[in-house]
Amino acid sequence: MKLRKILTTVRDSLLNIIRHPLITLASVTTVTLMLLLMGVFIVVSLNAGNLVKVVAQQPPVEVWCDAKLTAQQQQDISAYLTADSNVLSFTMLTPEENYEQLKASMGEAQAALDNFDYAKLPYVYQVKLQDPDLADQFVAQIKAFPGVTQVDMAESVMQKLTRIINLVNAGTLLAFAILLVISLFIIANMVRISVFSRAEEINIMKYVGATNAYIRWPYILEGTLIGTVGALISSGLVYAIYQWLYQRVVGGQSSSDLGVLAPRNFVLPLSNLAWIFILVNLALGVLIGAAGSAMSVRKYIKV
Amino acid sequence: MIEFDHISMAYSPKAPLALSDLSFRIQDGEFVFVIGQSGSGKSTLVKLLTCEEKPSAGEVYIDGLPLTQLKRRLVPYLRRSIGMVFQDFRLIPTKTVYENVAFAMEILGASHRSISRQVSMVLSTVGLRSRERALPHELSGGEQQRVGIARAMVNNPSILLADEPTGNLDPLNSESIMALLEEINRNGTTVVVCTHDREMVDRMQKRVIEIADGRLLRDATRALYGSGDKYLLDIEPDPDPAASAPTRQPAAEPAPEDGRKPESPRDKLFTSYDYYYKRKRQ
Repeated sequence: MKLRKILTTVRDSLLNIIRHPLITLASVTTVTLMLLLMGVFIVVSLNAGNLVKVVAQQPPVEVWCDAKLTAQQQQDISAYLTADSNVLSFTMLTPEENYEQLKASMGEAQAALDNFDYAKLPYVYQVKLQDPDLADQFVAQIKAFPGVTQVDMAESVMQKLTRIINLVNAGTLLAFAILLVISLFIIANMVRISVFSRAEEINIMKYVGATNAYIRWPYILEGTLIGTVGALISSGLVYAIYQWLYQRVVGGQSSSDLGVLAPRNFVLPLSNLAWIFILVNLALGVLIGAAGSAMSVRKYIKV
Repeated sequence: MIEFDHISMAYSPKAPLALSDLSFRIQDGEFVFVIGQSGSGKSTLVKLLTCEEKPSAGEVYIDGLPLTQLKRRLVPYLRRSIGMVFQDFRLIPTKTVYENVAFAMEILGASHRSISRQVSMVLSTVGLRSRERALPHELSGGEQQRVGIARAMVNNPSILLADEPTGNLDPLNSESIMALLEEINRNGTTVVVCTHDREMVDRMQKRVIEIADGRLLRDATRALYGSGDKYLLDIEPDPDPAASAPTRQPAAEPAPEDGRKPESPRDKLFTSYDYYYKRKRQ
């Protein structure tokens, strides 16, 4: 396409926007609202996913070993845990540490343990897994090591969490697809009104010898611009709302006594989300605008 | 040259024929009236020429090009060689007179300079140079139709196709529009006017193709409106209308900037195709 034609296309699409301010306003509002809804949804589901992930790592798998664990056996197990990609982190508690923990947990009654021979206590590995789905496999493998006597795992919790993660993922995808289709149709209808008001003009253009592409591009560009503006506005709104909420939930209170459940442990900070979110939003806005316009203008182009 | 070769046309397989075995030829540079009652098939004829419809049987040729074999993508290029004038003018209400004419050149990607020069010239020809900033609703019907003609002429088409151009005009305006069309024809453009304006046809005494119920009723040069032999001045078709028709004068269009020989209308059409195919090959 010649540069001149591109410039004419850009000029025409800007003129379309200016000449039909109400339609433009309605379209921008629609895109903004749809993307806002989608944005809130994305943010919520990202957080839900994160929450589940954080919680899933909390009940660790406990690998109990023989009290008479040899240095070699201990080394083998540690090497295996370090090498396994599914192991997020692990800590080893020596019998002495176990003893201290046990004592601490008994509170005032701890004096009863003063003469306890802690050498009788086992070595324990506390393992956090990356993917709770693969926990069974992990247990089977670690049990095969000499010196491992017992593996404790909150199995039912793991299974539930896995189910929740899958549910959240599927729900996100489904809602996302539905919202996408809805906003596509709303934009298509908005553009259809704008195209309809210019059906006569398109008809004349066809008679004068304009190609389909020449007629279509200003509308697609118009849709793209509207989508972009809608995406920017909705990104700004989501950003502002999220920041406000984040401040209130995470920043406002001292939540140290909540331990694992403190919001700062699982509410994603804005900086982690912002760029990805804005990019996704922009891409969606452009896609919705352009595809919606292209769908609408198709019908009127056939002369 | 326009040629209808045994054209039959039905809008749907079960519908009655809108055109039935219609054959005629229009040579380059002719002025032809196509007359007939409403529903006789005049508009169908126009639609076939602009490739809006395809015939059910037969073939339409423009400059030797069979239109049924024309790919849909190439239809715009064909339309650029045909200037269309409509009964209802079909001007874009939000564009000024100048813009209405200029946009027909813009779609071809013409430069600003050549658009401004050519549009001014065409508007002068139709006598509307002074009103180029006016919007269509500020003009009279006759003036609006002049803008329509200016738009049709601005790309220097080889054929001007006018569908009831005086249908919405008073006699005085009609006459000046027809004078304008005659002037355009004198410069070498083939002019085809579909009409049922009896007075106009009688006064101009040009070739008349009359269609009734989709069939060719008569084809006569220098004829009057109305059927029956008594109206005909010259029943025998002109053996070689091209010889009597004026030749196209390239002076009407400005010489190309690089000093090349101006293209003939036929060349122009083929150049469009060449251009298209060259681009496809790249």
